[in-house]
Amino acid sequence: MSSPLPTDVLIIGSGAAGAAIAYRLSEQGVRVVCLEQGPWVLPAEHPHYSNEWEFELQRRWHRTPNVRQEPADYPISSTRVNPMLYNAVGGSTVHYNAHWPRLKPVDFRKGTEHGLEGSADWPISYEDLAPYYEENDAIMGVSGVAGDPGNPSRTPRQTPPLPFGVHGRKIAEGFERLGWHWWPADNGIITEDYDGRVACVQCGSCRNGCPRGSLATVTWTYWPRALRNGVELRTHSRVEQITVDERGRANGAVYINLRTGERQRQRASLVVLCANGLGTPRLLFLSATAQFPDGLANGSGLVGRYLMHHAYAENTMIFAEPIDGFAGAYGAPILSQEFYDTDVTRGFVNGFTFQIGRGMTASPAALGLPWGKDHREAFAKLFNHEIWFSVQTEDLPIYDNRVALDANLHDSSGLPGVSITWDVHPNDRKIIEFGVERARELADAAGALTLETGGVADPSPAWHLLGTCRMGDDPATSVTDADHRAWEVPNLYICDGSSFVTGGSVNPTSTIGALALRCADRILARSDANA
Amino acid sequence: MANFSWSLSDDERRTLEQALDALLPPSGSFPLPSATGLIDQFILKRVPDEDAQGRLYPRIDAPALSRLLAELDDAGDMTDALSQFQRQQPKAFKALWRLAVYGYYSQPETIAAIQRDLAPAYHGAPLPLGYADAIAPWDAYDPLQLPRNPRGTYIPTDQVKRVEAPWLNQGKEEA
Repeated sequence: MSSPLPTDVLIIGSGAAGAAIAYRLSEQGVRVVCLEQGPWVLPAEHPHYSNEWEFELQRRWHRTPNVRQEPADYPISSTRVNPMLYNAVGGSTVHYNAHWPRLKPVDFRKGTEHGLEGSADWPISYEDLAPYYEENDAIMGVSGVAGDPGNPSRTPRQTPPLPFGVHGRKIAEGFERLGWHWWPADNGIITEDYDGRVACVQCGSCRNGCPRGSLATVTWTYWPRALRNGVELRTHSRVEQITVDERGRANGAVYINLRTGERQRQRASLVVLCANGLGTPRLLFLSATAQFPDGLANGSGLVGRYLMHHAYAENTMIFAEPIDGFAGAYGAPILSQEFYDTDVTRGFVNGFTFQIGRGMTASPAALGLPWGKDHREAFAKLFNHEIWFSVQTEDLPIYDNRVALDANLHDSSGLPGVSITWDVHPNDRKIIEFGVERARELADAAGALTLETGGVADPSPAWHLLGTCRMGDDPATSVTDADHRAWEVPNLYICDGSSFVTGGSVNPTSTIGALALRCADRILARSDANA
Repeated sequence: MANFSWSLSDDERRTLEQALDALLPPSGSFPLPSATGLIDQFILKRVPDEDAQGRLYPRIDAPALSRLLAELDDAGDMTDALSQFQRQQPKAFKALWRLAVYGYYSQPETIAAIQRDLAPAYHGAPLPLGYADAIAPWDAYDPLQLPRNPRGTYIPTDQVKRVEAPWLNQGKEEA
């Protein structure tokens, strides 16, 4: 086993969190090595220039690693959850919708508000994170417009909002008729040239990534800065174990070069784990030793517990007239948080966000239609006449919703895969059912012919992987402290979606980036990086 | 590594053309599938010639496609044969349907038909064109793009209070 030179900080995972931490630490002169099991995806690899791009979404660009089965992917077993993530430099920011809402202040205080199931207060507040939200937005580049009274004020967005199109205006008209909150949504998609990147041309294929760099993928934002600062990023490097010394302090990691199969050891003074809500607990379990028999940093028994990913109802409004729903970036042009806050008279706690998306392109629209003589007419009525939108709700942190190793599944290196146990809580089911009824009202108000809804999504689309190494104030009820420092391994930091205590009813990437910048500042403040 | 170098016999090609034409019959500007490059430019290049560990969408390889076509061969009425096949072998039928749809709707002739009949702006491949010319930029002066009377509130951190309801205590975790 070869051993490259030791470094100050070893970061495991190069996604939204790992990239931001690498940038911030390296700005201050810290020597950083980052290990990433996937490749650096080049712009030319994206399928946007091919008429078969829709088909590619079902192969290499599929969001589920179980379907994609690329060498960097690890298998995930689950019956109720459809897990989505990407293993490459940039993590899941390589292809995502880049919806960019923030958590609200109340989301950090759900223990105070109701404490249902594992709901607890975060050890930090919205105000602690607010400056980091701003800084992260400035680096990632956000389209939107400040002034939403439904959220704390924020600075002017980097570029104007996404275009609404015919479809967006129809929905806005519906919200107006109902008198409900709505606002042009923030998205990590730049609508004007910004910071050396070119503006989005509204091609609508964000789910295949963005070869232009208009989508806020960290390979276009943080990584160029971090690499310029001297960060060493090693791709195709799969960590199989975080190593600890006899004092129980992390001292590096053993990883496998996926191109050669060679095992290597990287020594470091401090380790930061940023492998997402599934990969992070997986690696902590893989790092079990006699000293840490239940997994590294798992004295609380909470590593892998409290998995959250939001619960959904996915809905489609169909209109009589053409609405050009295939056009426009696949961020959400509009959101509504009319029903976000808890109102116990509804019979549940928490609430939901309406996210208004776009319509389907041709092949996905055609796929669900009858074949044969009725196909053409059905296609003509659906394609260019429908809008997708979601009821996205917080799912309560539940002790039994969890991630564990699956010894029956193995990745391309022979390491165990992941199993997910998850079920929707009755409280969250009530929110979705309530939200679907509101969706019917919205469809009527917007003039839609029909609303098609699947109700509570099952299996649940797990775009967001949260909560499995929650932060907190008490070692008995959390995995890390407020600074992301593992309670039992003082020079091991954990920062990604797994750090969330509760999930709010919004997409998490803007919060993950803000947490990461703050985490890096806490590391610098403790000077552990140079210990 | 999957291999994509395989071919169809004349009989197989004829059966496949008949099946595709029955699945997606022409109408308006929409062409017959068999009159497009669906088979030569898509199916022959996208279906692996041996089982790629059953992993490549839509999970059908050349031998499986040959078996499928043998089942449909000499069908008196292809629509009836496909209906029966769908009932008897739903997974194999679904794979064929997925190939047909993704392949057909990616053909230049089909994209041109969509433009003519349904959506003038539609152009298939997302880039390099995009749709910036087809969707107007966000307009701050349009009351349906920025509310004239904004609504909405949030609860500041220092005003978060305990909510009370009898059913709330039922779901609490044991300390």
